[in-house]
Amino acid sequence: MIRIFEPHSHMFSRVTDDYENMAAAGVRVVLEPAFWLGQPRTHVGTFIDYFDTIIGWERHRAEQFGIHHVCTMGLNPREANDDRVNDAVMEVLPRYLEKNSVVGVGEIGLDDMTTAEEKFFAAQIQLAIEHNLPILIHTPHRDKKRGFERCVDIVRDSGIAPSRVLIDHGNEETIKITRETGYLQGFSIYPHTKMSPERMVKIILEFGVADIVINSACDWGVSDPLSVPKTVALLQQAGISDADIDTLVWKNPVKFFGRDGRGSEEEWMAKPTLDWTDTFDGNSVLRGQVSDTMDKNPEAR
Amino acid sequence: MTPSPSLTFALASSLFEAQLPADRQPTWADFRAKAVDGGLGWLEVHFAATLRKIGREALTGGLIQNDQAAIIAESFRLCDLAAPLLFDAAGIANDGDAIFRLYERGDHEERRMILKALTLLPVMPVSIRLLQEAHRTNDGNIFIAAFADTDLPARALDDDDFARGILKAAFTDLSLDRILGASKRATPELSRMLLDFMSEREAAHRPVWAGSIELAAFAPCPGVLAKVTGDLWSGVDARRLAAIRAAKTLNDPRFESEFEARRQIEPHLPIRKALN
Repeated sequence: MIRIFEPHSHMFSRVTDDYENMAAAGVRVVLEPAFWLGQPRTHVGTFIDYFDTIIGWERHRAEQFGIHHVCTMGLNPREANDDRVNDAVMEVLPRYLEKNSVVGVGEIGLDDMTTAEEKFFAAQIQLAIEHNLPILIHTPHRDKKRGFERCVDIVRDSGIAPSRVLIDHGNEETIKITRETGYLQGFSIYPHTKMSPERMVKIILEFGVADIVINSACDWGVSDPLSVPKTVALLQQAGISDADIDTLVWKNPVKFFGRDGRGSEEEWMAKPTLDWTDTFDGNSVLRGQVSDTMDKNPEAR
Repeated sequence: MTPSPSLTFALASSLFEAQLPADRQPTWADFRAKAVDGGLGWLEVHFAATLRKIGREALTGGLIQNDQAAIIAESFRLCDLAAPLLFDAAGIANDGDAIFRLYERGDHEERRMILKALTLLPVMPVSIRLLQEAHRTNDGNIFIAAFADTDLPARALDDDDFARGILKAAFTDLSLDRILGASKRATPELSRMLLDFMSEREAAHRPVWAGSIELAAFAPCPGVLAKVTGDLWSGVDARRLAAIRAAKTLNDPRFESEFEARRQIEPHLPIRKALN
């Protein structure tokens, strides 16, 4: 089975069936980028609790299904525009950037392309440099091409090494802008928007797998946490070799995120210990089905 | 602000220096120097990195104890031992508010390191507060970090809190051997609680914590002798072994004939040896 590092999935919004299905489809690692939560937050405390959850309970939850969970931390561009929270979030970010499951700064970038977004985007790139972390860039959904160009300008001015930049939510148009930048280029595959599995296959056939990652960006909206394995199946049908697919969905993200003792191929290839009786702050994934645990997870004690 | 370190702290310090791999010495020196310079502010951001910079390897050395404290070295990772040394370097080793703040803001690994660090520092109000917190959160790994392989709970907690900790150990099947110094804190009231819990479990046909009678024997309450006698014939090896130990603690001549009878049929060598 093809091994998969899913480099962009908001598992906070997903149910345990998704974890089970993802594990069964070959997903070994999920990366959860900090983002907004569907409606504006009004004070920094809710960010702190969210950040604590994605380094805590969510990580524990993923491990209960045999999947490693890592995350990126950041002030997302949507809420960078909100003066009720932006400065305060920037103040708490440094201490989260040193946590061991935090493998990058993100999602940062541009959404509406406002002055505030640019200011906090640039400031967070500097934080990434200080903490020796890569960045995961969210790009605008509207006026995408110009948004990509602006992101590239801001990144270039920041001084961060191109090899530490992942620019996400790309498409057939934006790859022409980013192809020569040396960035890792991300494509978010959705059922109805951004990028479809079929279009992704055409991009791979044209551009190859170097410096490209694919993700589901699954969240609380209509999205598919199995987008990556489904695209893998189409790539195989299109004649792409398993070695190239492995580069696309495993080696590229592992090399990009697994550095500085914050995860590695060796660590991520070892399955987390499965024990559904294990608790996190007194909470487990069990809902009374101890025998099911044994059936579904023969490795569990 | 630097406290006079406890003897255990000094032992831990030398253990850490001896077991830290040579190639990590420069990293440690840099880390420590930054803690000295940056104090709590630096530690608040960088404490989490101790795990990956200093290392997760378990120490060796078995039981380390003196007249102040006891720990089992194997339960400590290099990063756990580095934690109290970093607190000392940052000048917060006796600053309960600072330690609590680090704990509150820490992830699970940081919390585990802090709880281990407390076992190597003099008992402070924050030691008790965080032991209570570790108990309250009902998180297996956190509870073990706080209550196992150290005598801190036995040294620091009052009778009520200690009894609650023992009952949680019984509930989560943490071996009594790992709660160092427990026998010195046995009370008839704790024994009563343990025997009641045993009876409850037996009535429900659920497993019984083997440590119950072993600990109760140190401060017997009504019913202990009968429970020990019964468990000498238990079908569960751990309970039989615990009963033998309890009988030896109780040192009651009535057990001599029971031991003799048991020797004739005991199938397991370690338990047979314990009967001698």
